[in-house]
Amino acid sequence: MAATIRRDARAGAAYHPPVAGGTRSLGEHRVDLQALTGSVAFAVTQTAVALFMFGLYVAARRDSCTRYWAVASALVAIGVTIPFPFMGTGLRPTAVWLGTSAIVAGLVWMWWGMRVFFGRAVGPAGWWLMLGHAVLAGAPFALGEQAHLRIVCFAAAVTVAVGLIVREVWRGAGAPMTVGRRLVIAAYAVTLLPIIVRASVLLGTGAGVTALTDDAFDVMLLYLLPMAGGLLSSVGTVLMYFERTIDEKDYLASHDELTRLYNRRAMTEQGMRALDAAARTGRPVSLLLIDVDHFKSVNDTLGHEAGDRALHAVARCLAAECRRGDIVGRHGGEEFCIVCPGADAADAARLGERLLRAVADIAPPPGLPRRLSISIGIATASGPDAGPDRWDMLQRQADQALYGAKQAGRNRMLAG
Amino acid sequence: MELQAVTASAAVGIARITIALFMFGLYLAARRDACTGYWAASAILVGIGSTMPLYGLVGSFGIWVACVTVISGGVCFWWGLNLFFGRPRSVIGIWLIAGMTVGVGGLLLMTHSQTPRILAFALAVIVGTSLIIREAWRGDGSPLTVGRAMVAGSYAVALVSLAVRAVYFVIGGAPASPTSDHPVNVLLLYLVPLMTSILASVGTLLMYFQRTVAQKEHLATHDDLTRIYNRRALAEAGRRALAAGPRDVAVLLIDVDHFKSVNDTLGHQAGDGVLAAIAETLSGNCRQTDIIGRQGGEEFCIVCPDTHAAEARVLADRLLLAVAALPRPDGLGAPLGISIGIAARTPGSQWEGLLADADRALYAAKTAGRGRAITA
Repeated sequence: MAATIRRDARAGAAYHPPVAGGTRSLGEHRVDLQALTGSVAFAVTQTAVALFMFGLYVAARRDSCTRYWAVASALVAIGVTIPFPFMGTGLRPTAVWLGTSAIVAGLVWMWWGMRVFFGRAVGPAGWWLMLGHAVLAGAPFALGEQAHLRIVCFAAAVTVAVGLIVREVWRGAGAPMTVGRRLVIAAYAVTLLPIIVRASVLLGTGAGVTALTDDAFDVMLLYLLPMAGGLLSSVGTVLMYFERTIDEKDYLASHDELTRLYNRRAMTEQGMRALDAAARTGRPVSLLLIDVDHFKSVNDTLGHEAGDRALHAVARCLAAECRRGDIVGRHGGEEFCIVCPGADAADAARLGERLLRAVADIAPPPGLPRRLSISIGIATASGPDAGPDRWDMLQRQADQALYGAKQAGRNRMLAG
Repeated sequence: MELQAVTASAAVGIARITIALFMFGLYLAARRDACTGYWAASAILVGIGSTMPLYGLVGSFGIWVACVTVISGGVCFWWGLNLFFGRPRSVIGIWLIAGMTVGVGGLLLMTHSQTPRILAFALAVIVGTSLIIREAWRGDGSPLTVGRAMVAGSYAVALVSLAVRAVYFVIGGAPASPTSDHPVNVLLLYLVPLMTSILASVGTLLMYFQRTVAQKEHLATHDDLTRIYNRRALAEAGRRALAAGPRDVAVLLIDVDHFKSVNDTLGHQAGDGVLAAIAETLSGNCRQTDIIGRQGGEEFCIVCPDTHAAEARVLADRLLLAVAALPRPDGLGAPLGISIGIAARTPGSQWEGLLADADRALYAAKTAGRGRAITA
């Protein structure tokens, strides 16, 4: 490729559009072609980006951030493409002005979408930013065709907008960094770098400026790198959105909606994992099965809403009393379950005592003539007894102990 | 090398590298789901194979490696689709790769002419692409989604574009060199594939994404154990039925009789089995338009749009009979039974009010001796 890098004095000469059918003579204006191909590739890519961002919007219409992103991508695609039909005509400066404004507006819109995605409000600041950027991008044209000023103003506007976007993505929503977010940040760096380099080179050398130089450096800076950046940032954005959807799905699949504790399926998984670890390390594992006493009467006398509130209170109480490393879940109905890795029978009994007292301290639901209480069944496995296939057995033991505690008068615990 | 094709192929190369990065990101985000692993491998293989000429690797060996790599990438993508739609990876993929390896290798050794090699490669691409289009179009039998349409459409456009290029050059007798600056070559070999490869990869993500969203929605609205609506989704459906206009709406609240004793004597697992069996019986005996959900514990609820109290009563009687006909679980003293409370919409009634009416009727049915239905 190095052999093809050459500067041509005629760069920027009026472009003669190709004649359909490939009969055009390539000799005279061949030098224009490289920049042309680069810019066409850029436009094609941005159009693809706009198309798939629209696809994302259709697939996830409920989230308004996808609408902002779709509009942003469409604006950038329009901005990149609009100068084409007007090349070599008197309207080209206007088209370039419209194009740069559309790109800048697209970036601000992107930032807006990011704020919405991360759950932050935008407010009137967004419109001021949009206005400021429009002025910044439009001023050089109002002052006449001043290419240097235009390029520097454009670089400034893009730098501010991209800086804002990167800041949003960097901050995220407080969650740990993800692949998608890293890709987006890297992509915007790739997009911004060439624009700044080009503006600096222009300011430093006062070189002639035109979008149509075939210098490989120009083509790379002006078209190919922004093309890569634009593509990467948008796929990164889609990926980021997707990561969140997967997280939400995993949360829903593994948590109980009412109490926000693990659900039964997740508890089975966690219990098996704990038993597996116990078999390897030789440390014990305890399982506590907990049932709220006479819960049916809460539902029947006070209604389901009050019953739900009581379950919620018990759940919070259990979660608060557990040690770090204990895993608390709702087994269904009024039954809870705690897996304690590393706890032997004595540790589990101490925890059980604590839970009994803590639940007794919960303020009884208004209208209930008694305090809430629980019964606990405990089972412990250790050493050769452990292993993931022992989960069912451990559970049966705890269930029998729980039944025993119920038979013995409730509000107590029993070890199986 | 001429300028135009070089720039275009550089653009394609850059896009391919981006796509490979992104597909790998999808693989990580999807918790290393096997199908996304195949897609990531595919993007990397196609990325390497299709940019090899860029690095000057255009000798016989380079072309052979590039052909095999690109075809393997296509096969990997297809295998990913197989897995995604719940089918086993097809063995045809192995044949394609093996055929490509042996065929192109043999052709390169036997002849200096490029034409047979180009034709063999084109044939493999046509077969591979057609398999991908068919797989994405067929899907798993569910209606076509944006993502699947995007994948099938992109590959179809890519296929047509390559075919048109081949026909154009064969008929015109012009040399079909990949480095030709002929606009038809640049457009059909680089710019159209640039667009389609981006759209195909993002279409793949959207396809995967749409399934994840559907699963998420199902999890959020369905009860894990019985696979029917959960309480929140049921309330939403009930409110929607009431808001749909001044039409009849009936609500059946159903409670399993003496369920506690099932749990206590047979254990929770048997109890779960009973709940699942009853849920299945209830949904099997409802009409298409009825909405059935689990209210929590051993309580179920059915919302019947366009149904007045007498019709709901008929349905309730049918349900009572159906549950009574269920086989009794081993070790249980009494057969399974349910009690039903029926409430019909009255002018101005809201969802909560309707449910409270049904709850009172259910309580009455319980106190009247269970195993019966009472209308509020």
